[in-house]
Amino acid sequence: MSDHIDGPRQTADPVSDLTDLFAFTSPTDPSRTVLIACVLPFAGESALFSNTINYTFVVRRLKQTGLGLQAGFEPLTDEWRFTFQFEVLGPETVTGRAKQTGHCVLPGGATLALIAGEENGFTTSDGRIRVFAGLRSDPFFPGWLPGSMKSVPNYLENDNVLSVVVEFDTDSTLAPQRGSLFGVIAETTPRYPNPTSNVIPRFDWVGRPEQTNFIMNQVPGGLDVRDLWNQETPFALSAERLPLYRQRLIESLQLWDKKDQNIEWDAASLKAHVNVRLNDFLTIDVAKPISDKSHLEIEKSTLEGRPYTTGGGRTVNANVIDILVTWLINRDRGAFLQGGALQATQPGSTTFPYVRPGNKNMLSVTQSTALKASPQEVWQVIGGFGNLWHPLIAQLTLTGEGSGQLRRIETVDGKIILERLSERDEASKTYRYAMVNGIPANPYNGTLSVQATATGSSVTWSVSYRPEGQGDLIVRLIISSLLNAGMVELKRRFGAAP
Amino acid sequence: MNTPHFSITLPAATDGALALINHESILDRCWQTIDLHPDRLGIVAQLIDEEYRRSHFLGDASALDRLLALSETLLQHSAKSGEAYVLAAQIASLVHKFDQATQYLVQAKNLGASAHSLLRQQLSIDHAIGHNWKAVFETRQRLSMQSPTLQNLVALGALYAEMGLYQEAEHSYLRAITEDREHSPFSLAWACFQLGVLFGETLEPTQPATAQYWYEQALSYMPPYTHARVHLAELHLDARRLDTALKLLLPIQDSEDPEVSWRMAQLYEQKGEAHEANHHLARALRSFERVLGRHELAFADHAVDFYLEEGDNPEKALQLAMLNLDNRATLRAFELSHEAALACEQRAFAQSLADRAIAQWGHLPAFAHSSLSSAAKPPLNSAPGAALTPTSQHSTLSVSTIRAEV
Repeated sequence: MSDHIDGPRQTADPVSDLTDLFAFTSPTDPSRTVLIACVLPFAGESALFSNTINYTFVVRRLKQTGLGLQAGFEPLTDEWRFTFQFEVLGPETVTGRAKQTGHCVLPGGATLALIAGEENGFTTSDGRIRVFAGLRSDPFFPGWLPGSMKSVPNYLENDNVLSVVVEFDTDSTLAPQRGSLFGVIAETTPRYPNPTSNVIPRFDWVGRPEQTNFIMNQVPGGLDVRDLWNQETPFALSAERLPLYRQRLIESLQLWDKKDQNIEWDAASLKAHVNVRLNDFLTIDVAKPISDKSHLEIEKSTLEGRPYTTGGGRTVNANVIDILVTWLINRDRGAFLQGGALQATQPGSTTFPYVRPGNKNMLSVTQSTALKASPQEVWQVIGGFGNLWHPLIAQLTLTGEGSGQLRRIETVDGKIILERLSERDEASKTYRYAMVNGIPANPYNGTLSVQATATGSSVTWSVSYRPEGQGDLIVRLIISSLLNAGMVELKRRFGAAP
Repeated sequence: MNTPHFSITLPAATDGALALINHESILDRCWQTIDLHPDRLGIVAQLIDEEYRRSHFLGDASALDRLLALSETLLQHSAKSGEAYVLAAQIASLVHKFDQATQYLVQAKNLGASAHSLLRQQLSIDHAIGHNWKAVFETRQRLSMQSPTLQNLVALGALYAEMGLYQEAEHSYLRAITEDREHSPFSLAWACFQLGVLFGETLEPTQPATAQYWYEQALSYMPPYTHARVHLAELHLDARRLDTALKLLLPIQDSEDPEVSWRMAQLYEQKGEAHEANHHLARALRSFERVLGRHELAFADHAVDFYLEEGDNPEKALQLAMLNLDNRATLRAFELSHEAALACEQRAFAQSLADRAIAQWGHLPAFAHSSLSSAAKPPLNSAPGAALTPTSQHSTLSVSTIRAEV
């Protein structure tokens, strides 16, 4: 899960747990660079930042030190830090709940005051730097289970996180004419470190996605080294522990390579890959184009011994898990390994602050009916994602197969609904799906299942959704009517059990 | 022992009120999500942590109800997952259903749960029931060496304290605090609370001033911490600082935790306000009966103390103490059952319990400080009830006085 819950310590105070880091040029203004970091997995609607934690982006200029088997990136001494700090809540006011205030310490030491949750964020008087902090829909969308490589729907669907965002003028901030390649990390550190303690002053840091969970923690029987890794100083790993991390990366990358039974990474290229990964930061070239597809391109090209052509980085909508596992498993020499998640609950936007507002609590409609027929008989009729049995559906066409399969529904009154199969389990006679388009709700997730009963079977159809573009009453009526018509039809076909 | 506490710089942590808001926001979100995706084991694990926090820090007994409901949902939707059974075992352990927890772990192993998670949960169960303690001790030591997290160090400290190695216990707790890397006010408050218990209840003689200091630190991290407030109020009651005790208890007087009402009853009795005292005692009685009705094993040991003292029902105390002893044959469980047996004037039975305790725990340094150590060679003329606490000997407040008044 990118960097979510990446180690036992992260569960103790999840507000220090970095879940993701993004770095890209603004799609609406290529002269500006955007950095986004997220914390607090499973944040609820009232979530707040810690008053004693620094939430910091660190940017270092990089030098490419070699290509192919000598691939490497050396962090130079130029460094830019953006540190967000927050305060405790003040008393509630007559106008409502108190808001959390804070500020961002900018490179050079100036501060920019902010209030968490203000959609437009706050901008320096010269317009150079703009910041935001607040609750957002979790932009990450993993579609693979790493151990089994099972394709699954986004298992962070509907989750929220707290995000900090900084957008700045690239030229006047980073002086890219002196070198346009940068390494970016985000870290959480104590705001008030204990002066008498020798404890390493870092809770978590993140560079490339899944360095910890997917890569360092996927060696069966291996010690969990994520807590150690999370306390390392970014751009300067401990020489003492470097052999430990190197060995872990070698073992892990070998296991990843074997997942498709083909060996694409020989010992020398794997060693070079490990060297690159030991320098864990998001690489971004602010002078080159950055897109949803360019994530890891700088590292990949460098390892393959050719000049890179994009700005790498990581956009909010980059499908980083599929990009990563494809690279680890077949080194981009085979098919792209598309997992079961195609997009986040709310895909990122093209305008500030680029990550979408937090997901509100979902609403749901559930209908069940008891039937006289056996579960097998009923499942045969309704269990296929493309089966045409519902009285309000006039036509149905399928595209693709398995998880991700699309069905285009034309209703009897001429409306078009597009739905995507999330997963189907024959054994439990259940399938789950998501509506893509056609009903004023987003997200919209349905589950249809058949269970055995003493008198035959029982069908349960439930939909969880959030209205979009229409009021709840109208949306609820649409969904209830759809489900109800289905239940009536099933009773007509199979007979209602007592 | 007793490291001067003023020489220790306590680490900063997220403000307790902020952490509580985040805890509630996560809890709410996770319950929403689990309703939609009951097979998301990561959410279940988070819910277990958050509900346990509610139970431990806020005295919310309904958290245990929700955990049991979660366990049912979990096994219904993830019956083929070994990790799901480990989580179910964790929930069973939290409500002290250790036999069931052990059965779940067997199923978890059969279904291929990871060795690491099996080990952690088995360790937790063995520690709680006093089983295989040498292996538990070695494992706790090893884990604390390999991964000196606050959780591991506090668990080791608790084990040291149970063994009677008090200096080691204090050292382990202090390391947990001073080397903290978690920043969680919940975790730090818990470590401070454990030090309060060590100095205020476990050591013989106790060191109330030091205990007070640690309970106050626990509350500085997590102001609504119910157990810390109750224990600190008890210290103030013992010193007859009644107004200070009242200030601690008033903000939590609506808590479901029966010990809150019990201490309120003691407080008003000391103030000479019999009506108020009886009101709170009756409430404590109802609360104990309610939580015992729902989670008898989880509350049995605490309830024994109550029924031996103001609860004034030694037979019930003995019944609960034996239930607790059958469930977890720890030294503390032997002490409680022995005390209850004496209160019921069952001296022979009490002696048999003492003999069992000596056989099982006599070798531990803790045994020398135990009320059972004198029971090893009981004076022939010892009176029934001699082991009762000073409170129960001197208190005029009891449930029977309430009943008499009614």
